[in-house]
Amino acid sequence: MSDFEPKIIGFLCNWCTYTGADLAGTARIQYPSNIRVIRMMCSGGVDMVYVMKALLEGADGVLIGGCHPGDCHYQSGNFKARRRVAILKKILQQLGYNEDRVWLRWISASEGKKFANTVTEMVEYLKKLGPNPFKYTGNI
Amino acid sequence: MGVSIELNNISALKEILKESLENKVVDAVLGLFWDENKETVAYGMTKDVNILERLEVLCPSMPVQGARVVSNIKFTETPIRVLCIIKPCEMRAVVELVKLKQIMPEKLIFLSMDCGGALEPEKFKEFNKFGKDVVGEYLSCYENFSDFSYTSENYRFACRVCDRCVPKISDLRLRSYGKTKYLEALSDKGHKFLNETIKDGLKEMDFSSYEDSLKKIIDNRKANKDKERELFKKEINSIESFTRELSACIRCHNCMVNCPADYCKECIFRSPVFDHPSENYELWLERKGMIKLPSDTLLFHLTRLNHMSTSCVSCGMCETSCPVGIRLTRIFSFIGEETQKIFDYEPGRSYTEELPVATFREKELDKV
Ligand code: SF4
Ligand code: SF4
Ligand code: FES
Repeated sequence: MSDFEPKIIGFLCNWCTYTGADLAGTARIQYPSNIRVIRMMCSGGVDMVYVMKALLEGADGVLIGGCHPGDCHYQSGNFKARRRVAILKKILQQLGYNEDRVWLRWISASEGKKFANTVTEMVEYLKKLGPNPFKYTGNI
Repeated sequence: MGVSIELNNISALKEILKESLENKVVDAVLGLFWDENKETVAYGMTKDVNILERLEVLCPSMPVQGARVVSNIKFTETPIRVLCIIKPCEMRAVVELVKLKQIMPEKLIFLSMDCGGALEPEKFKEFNKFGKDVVGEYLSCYENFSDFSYTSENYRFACRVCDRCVPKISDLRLRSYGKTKYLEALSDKGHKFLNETIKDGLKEMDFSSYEDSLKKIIDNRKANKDKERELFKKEINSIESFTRELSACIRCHNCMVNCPADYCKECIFRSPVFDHPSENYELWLERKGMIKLPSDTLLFHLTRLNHMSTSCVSCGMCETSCPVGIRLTRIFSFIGEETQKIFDYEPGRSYTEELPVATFREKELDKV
């Protein structure tokens, strides 16, 4: 298991976490390259169907990054995202699937360091957890 | 405790409906009507008092979700006043669809009944066809206050475990158990209907002994539900077991089309998104070794759970519609209970309680 490199799909809000990730890059803060980033205009635009699609296709984890509460450019996108993620996690839990493969984090445009730390932490966590069981099933 | 009228039998209710049409209190009545051969029932709407003869108010069949039928008619341009006779789970779905702005309730009056449950439509038809007096037996069970549906395998699973078989929020409630029935107004609209239709006999009544007898029936169903929930949670508790349960799914979308909570016209599953190009299949073969066909059945059900389980009214219409016998009521109703609990939400309970996915609180769900 030691050479297992988890794949993470990141749905990052353009106004905060995505810019934060950019900042981490320009400031040359090191973080693992396991994340594939998809830029969203708001965390409220992340439909859970995207998250499940990523998991069913075999991503080991999904990171949703949005603006801190009160900072969403569309007022309430992040609050709505939080409810959707809560529902998704409850469903996964009911189906005996580790809901902690999905992370929702508030990371602002200035928090390059926090972004790098979050990805590092998530990679460590997923390494311990092992590969997503969906990777090897033909059911999508 | 609302104003009620005593009915000597169920035919007395029909007389009231006839009067309401003749006196133009309503323009039409919507409910379950027999076909010409008296083999089966279907939803219909009429303003003709003669056709009302074919109406069956207490009828153990649910051929389609009543809320679906109501929402399919756009009453906006021609605002006719319709009295809609639907079961309690259909009423709960009406409430959800009103909140979703799919039903404009202003001109509609909803009559619902203390419900004894329904057979699968094919059973209902088969029994009638072979001369069994299905409705007669159903009515005599009501008269004896006996609990029929939860013990008989012929009844739909959703009905056998239904502990919300009493309408809480319709305009009119038919207290259907016992020899004498009562029609009770639960809302101002219902009250107005009774006042305009019935000349005398309206009064406030005390139903405490009725409620006591009813409670026994509901408690039985509740116990049955608890037992079935436990069995379900033991059986479907992993992705493997969930996948197995869904393995026969042909993604015909019947469950979605007939579910009252799946109202969205822009549903991704009504789009060509899942007509994958053939390269995708090659990629899946490469990565996963095999691909179950039709594809995306897991994604389909997980998406429905995510998008609508907070509004699942446990009507069981999904299961009734499934051609391959997937136990969808258990999946949606039991998992739906859990997602609803997060927000202390009960679908169909109130018109003012906000839909969980349409709102938020600034301070909540800290640990998500
Ligand atoms: S009705 Fe049954 S077969 Fe059709 S999509 Fe739903 S679960 Fe699958
Ligand atoms: S998911 Fe099934 S039980 Fe729930 S509301 Fe839809 S049709 Fe009814
Ligand atoms: S704009 Fe960033 S979460 Fe809404």
